Amino acid sequence: MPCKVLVTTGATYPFDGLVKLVFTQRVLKALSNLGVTHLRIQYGKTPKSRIVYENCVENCQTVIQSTGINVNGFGMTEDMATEIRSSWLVISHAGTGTILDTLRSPSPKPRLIVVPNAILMDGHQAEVAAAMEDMNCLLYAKSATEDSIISAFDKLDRQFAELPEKKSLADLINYEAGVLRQL
Amino acid sequence: MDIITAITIREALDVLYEWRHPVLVLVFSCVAVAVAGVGIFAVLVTALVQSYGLPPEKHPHGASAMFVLGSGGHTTELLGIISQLNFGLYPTRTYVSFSGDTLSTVRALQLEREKSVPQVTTLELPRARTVGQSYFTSIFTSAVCGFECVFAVAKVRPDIVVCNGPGSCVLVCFAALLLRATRIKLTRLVYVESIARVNSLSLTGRILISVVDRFIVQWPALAEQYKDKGVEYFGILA
Repeated sequence: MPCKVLVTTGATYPFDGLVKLVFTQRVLKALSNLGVTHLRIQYGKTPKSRIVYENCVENCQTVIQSTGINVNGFGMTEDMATEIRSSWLVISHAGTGTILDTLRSPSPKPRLIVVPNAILMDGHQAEVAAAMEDMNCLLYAKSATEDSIISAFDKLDRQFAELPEKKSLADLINYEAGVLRQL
Repeated sequence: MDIITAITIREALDVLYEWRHPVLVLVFSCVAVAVAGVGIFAVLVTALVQSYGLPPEKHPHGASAMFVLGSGGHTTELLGIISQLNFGLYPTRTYVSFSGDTLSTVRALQLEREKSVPQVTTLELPRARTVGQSYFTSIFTSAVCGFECVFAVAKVRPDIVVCNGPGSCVLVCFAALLLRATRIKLTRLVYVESIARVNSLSLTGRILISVVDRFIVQWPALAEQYKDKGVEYFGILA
C-alpha cells in the first residue's frame, strides 16, 4: 500500500524546480489518487531553497488540506539511506548517489522517478538515468514537466528490473598492487 | 690543395680562453644546460615508457595504497570499491582529499572504523581549481596543487594509486608517474571512470587514459568505443 513519498533535490546543487514541480495542484492530486499519505521533502541546504519550499507549502495549503496529505520537509540529512528505504516512491534529482542508494535498497525496494535538473541539463548527469530507464530500473521524467511526472505515475505499477549485481575490483587492485600472485 | 689543421684539446681550450667573452660564455652555458635538460627529460620519458612493459612488483608482505577521493558522488563510488578490499593486504593506506572537502575524509575514516583498527593517513591537498574560479588564477592554484601532489606522493611512495576523478586526481597521477620515471617506486595507477559516464569519457578520463595501467569503465557503450585503448569493463561497480 503506497504511503510515503520522498522528494530529494540532492546536496550539491540547489534544485528548487523539483520542489515547485511537486507542489502543483495536478501533481499533489495525482499523488493523493495513488494513495499517498505522507510527503517528505528534502529541499536542500541553502536558505533560499528553504524559502522556496515554505512558499510552496503555503500556496498549496488548500490542496494539501483537501487531499489530506501529511507534508513535512528538511534541508539535509546524514542518513539519507534510511529515508529512502522507508519510502514507497522516491522522486529524485539525477544524482548517482540517490539513484544507487534507491536501487540498491533491500526489498521491498522503493520505486524511483528521476527528474533532471534543467540547469545541469547539458551536462552528463542525466545520462545514467536515461541508461537505467532503458534497463527498466527506474522511470525518467526527461522533460521535467508536470505532464512527464504524471505520466510516470501511471507506469508505477509495472514490474521493475533489478540493477545488475555489483562487481568487485578487489582482484584487479590486488594484482596491480602485487599482493596477489595471479589474476 | 687541402689544408688540414689538427687542433688538440689544449689548443681548443686556449682559443676559448682567448675568446672568453661574457656573451659567449653565457651562450655556451645555456646550450649546455639545455642539452642536459633534454637529456634528463629523454631519459625520464624512456624510463617511464619502459615501466609500462614491466609487471607489477610483488609485495607479499602487503602494499602501500593511495586512494584519491574526489568529492560527493566520486567519493561514494571509490569508497564502495575500496570497501571490498582486504585491508590486511594493505598495511599502509593513504586517503587524499582536496581542501574544502572534509566530508570525504570523514567518510573514509568511517569506512576505516568499520573495517579495521585505523592505521591510516589522510592528506588534504589544495585544490587545482574550485568551481567557478577564473581560468587565469587557476593556473597558479594548479601549480601550487601540483607541487603539493609531488611532495605528498614522494613522501608516501605508494605501490598503487586508485582514483576516479574529478580533475585534481590528474595531478596526483602525474606525480606518481614522476616516481616511476625516476624508478623511486614503480607505482601502479588504476583509474575507474564514474558510473555517471555512460556514452562519453570525462575530461579527466581522456587525459589519464593513455598514462594509467588499468582503465575501467562501467558501461558497455564506453567499453566498445575505447576498446583499442585497452579499456576494461566488468559491469557496474557501485
